[in-house]
Amino acid sequence: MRSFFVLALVGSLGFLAGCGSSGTPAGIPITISLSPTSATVNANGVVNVVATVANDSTNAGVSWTLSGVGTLSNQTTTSVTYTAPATVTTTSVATVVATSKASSAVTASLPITVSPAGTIANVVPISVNGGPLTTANPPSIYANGVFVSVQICAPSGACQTIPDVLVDTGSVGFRVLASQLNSQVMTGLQPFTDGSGNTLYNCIQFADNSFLWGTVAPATIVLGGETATSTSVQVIATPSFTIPSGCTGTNEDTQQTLSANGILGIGAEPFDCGAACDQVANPQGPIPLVYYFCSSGGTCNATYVPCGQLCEGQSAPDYQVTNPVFNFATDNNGVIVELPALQPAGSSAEATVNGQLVFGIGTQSNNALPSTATVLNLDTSDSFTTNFASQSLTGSFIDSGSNGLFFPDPALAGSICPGTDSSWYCPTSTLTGLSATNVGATGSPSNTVTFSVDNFETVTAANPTDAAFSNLAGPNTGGFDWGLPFFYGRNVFTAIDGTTVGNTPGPFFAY
Amino acid sequence: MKLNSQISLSHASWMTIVLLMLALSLPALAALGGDVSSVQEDKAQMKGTLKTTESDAYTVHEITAAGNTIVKEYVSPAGKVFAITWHGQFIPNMQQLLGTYFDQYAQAAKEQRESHPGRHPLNIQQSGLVVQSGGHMRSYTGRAYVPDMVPQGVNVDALQ
Repeated sequence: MRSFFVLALVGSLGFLAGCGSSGTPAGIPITISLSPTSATVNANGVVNVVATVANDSTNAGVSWTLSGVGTLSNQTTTSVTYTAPATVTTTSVATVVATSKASSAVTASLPITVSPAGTIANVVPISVNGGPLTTANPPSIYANGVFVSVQICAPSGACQTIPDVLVDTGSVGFRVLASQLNSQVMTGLQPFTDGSGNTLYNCIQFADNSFLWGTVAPATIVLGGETATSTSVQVIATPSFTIPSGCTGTNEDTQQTLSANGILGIGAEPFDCGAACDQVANPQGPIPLVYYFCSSGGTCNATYVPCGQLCEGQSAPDYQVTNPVFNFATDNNGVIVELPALQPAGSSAEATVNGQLVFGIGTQSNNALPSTATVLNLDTSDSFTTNFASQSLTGSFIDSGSNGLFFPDPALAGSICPGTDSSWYCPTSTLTGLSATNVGATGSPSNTVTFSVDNFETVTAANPTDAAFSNLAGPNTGGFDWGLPFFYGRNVFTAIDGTTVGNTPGPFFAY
Repeated sequence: MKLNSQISLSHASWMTIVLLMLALSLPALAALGGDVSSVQEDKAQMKGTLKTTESDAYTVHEITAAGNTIVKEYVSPAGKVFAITWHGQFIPNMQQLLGTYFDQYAQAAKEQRESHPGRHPLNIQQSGLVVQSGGHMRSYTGRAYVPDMVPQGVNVDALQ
């Protein structure tokens, strides 16, 4: 009975999103499809757009509107020409919207990324700058957090650039605080529904007992010149009802509690839940407590949500919160996080560190995987092995979203910081020359990494306005968590599961 | 050996049903620090399957929940759950697993976050409660125990 109910809900979800219409009279609804489905142009660039209208007995076609930069010309009921401005100084998204003349509720939109000539499309700047609370009163600095600006566009065409978004290669999907969105974008982001008045929500729990709760809505994500269309994102906001008991911990629904305006999850997977949340891939259940359909009154039921061809082995939609990089038209097999070493050489603290995030691996002249790189293949948990202090740590990983190096070390068991700092090591003096060997999950290749451990309390107190610390470390259970300090002075590659880099299948980490 | 394990599993299934029926009519019991019967509460809550193994020092109740998340509850000869470990795609329901210790855990986690913003694995080390929780999206690992309840001679760091 229960599974039938859930099946019906997901079926409805697929139907609604598939036809993309609402408010049409009974009968077969009118639909509009546009070609192309996305486009990228420079100054003076031209895009010819064609609309195909189905089930319109009046054959009235569409009318055209534009939001954002540029102009429309040569308008007919089935086509239009978009022209970018002659001068483009910053990258933005223009959205061409087609509206059915027979039924004004039926629309389709085409996001066009407009970039200055000569823009390197697959690079955006990133910064270890302390995050958004650096200017708060009192100021609060996010140590070893790397931040980026992300442009989000609603299907309505409303766009907004969100600064201070945490770059996280340890999670998947774009999650943004509703409180940071302007009213046009917020209104334009329409969450998925099941056709019975229930809205799709997502609960993501993190290891530090925090969780994010919010609706799931399709959006266009723009990073530099790269565009991910129809990509599910999580809009973080506390609902008017009680959050289900399966979603427990500290709710991080404000800038103050999240210490960021959002999280850009660009890890080694395409989907935040994947097969476990897909009914075709996991028919036996139980349904994970990750996605819920909730009524306006707050009755929530865990639900399956499909995650497309990769999950089901057959053509299927993907409504799960999805890695935006995976949905780029090009450069979509992974990312490189490039951060320089702290300056001057040998420093353990620095005010800010600026670097870049590069999209794609081996797809352009600027993102080749060097032949000298260590390419760590991963197990089914996206982990490799780190040999350290006579321990074989099989659950090891590289994660820009962890703000230190975290590993079990019997020799440091007595050097745990006191009180509320007990997630960090506080050795009496800096430990230098520690080494650990990373080994691919299949047993090769291997590479030895050396690192140091500062006293967390001493170094952060001595450098109260600095955001970057190269020797912060703490205890961990399970594997070696190579967090942001590992990234300083390295180009770190994260390749996505289900894609390939040359002949090498993802997922992998490389450096 | 195989026959034995089948018998004990089948026995466990019957016990599960009986205890589940009992549990439904009783208030929820805490898992960590609670009686062995609280394991059934956790199993029911997680819609999981249960396997039990015994050693000299303790009994392990292993629950496999959604996403193949494996939760192990370690029960002392005194019949108390003295430690819990987890490993898998999802973090188990900590409120259910930690029971009366959950508030202490949540408060400690919150205080750590408020003293220094930033995301990282958690190590809570108090005289009455130790919780270690780490991993990344789609792979989480952790351990919680009550130091005073750990049977003599058991190395909690070796529990996985």
